Amino acid sequence: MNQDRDRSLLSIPASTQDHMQGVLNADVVLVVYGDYQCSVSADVYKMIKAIKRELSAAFGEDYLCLIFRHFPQTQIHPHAQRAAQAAEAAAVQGQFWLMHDTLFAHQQKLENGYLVEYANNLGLDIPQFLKELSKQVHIDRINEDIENGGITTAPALFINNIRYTGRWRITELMAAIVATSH
Amino acid sequence: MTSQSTMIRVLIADDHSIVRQGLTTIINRDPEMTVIAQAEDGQQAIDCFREHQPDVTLMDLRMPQVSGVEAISAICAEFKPARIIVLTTYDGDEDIYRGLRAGAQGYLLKDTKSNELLNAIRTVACGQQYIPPDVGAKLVQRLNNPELRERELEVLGLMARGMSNSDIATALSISENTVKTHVNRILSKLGVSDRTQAVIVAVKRGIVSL
Repeated sequence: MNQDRDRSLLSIPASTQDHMQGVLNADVVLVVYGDYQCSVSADVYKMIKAIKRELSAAFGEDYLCLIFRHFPQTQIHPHAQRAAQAAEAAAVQGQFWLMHDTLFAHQQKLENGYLVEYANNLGLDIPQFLKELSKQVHIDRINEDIENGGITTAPALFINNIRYTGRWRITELMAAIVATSH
Repeated sequence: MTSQSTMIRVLIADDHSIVRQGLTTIINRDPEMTVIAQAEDGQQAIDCFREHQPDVTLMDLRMPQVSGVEAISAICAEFKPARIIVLTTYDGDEDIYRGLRAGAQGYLLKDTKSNELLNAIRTVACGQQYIPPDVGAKLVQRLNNPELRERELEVLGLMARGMSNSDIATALSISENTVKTHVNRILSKLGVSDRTQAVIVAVKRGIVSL
């Protein structure tokens, strides 16, 4: 029982260390664990982005904060971990979300050559990007996300620290988010 | 009923257990085939080959310790009639070229459908080659590309690690001018105008890895 309860709660609280769109004291803080090579993760991210747009228009920019953490499933998605590293390398250069969106938009093309191409298209410092990727400097952060997440599969979503267990349908998800804050 | 002696005995070498399990299930479902051993890396593949002498080996390319290409070369040097199919996620023309040059008779990508995989195993087991048309086209492309020299490959490998010309000069104990000459030749051979594009093309083609 205890274990079940633990799994339904976010184990590491949202912090400034996270990649976020919005403010930490927002009415609703969404923490998503995702895998760049997983189509459901991409769909869920797209859904959440649409919800965020709509709710921000209705309740203001500070209503919803979106946080993304890595959960590459390397056994089934051979490019997912490298893609996460590319996102982290872009983060160092202040372009996490642009790289993040690019990776989800091109999840059929995540081989290493494409990762460099995306970094180049975003105008990143390529020698720096290559150094970080080849030395795997971001692997620890990604592994921390995986190990501390308390989840076994991606995507996983926590709404104000509580695991969302409903279906991945936009109306159902939006209802759950609005219900949390009212 | 197929008797044990006419069954095609298959060895699978892949560092991902989930891939090995999936392949085993697909292959064992075919009444004419059976998976006799699995290896997690290139060295184990060589050892398993020696022990079991399978009819057909499915070999991943990027594996820890001993790579797929090295394992194929070692096995083919020792066992002339070895029948090996490369099964990989990498479709760069250099990967294809190196795999086949090492002695593989077939080259499949991991998104291949099960019936095509089984066909490929049957074809290679009969002593024929199995090269899908898109793989063949890339091989032709590779054969038409100018060959990079060993030193150029070294320089390119360091470029892919984000090193500047002066870093590369220090790492290889050569002058920066010599590095520049190598870089210019690399750009020209790869048909690109800058080092970033050189790295992108080289990584995509499998000439260097990140």
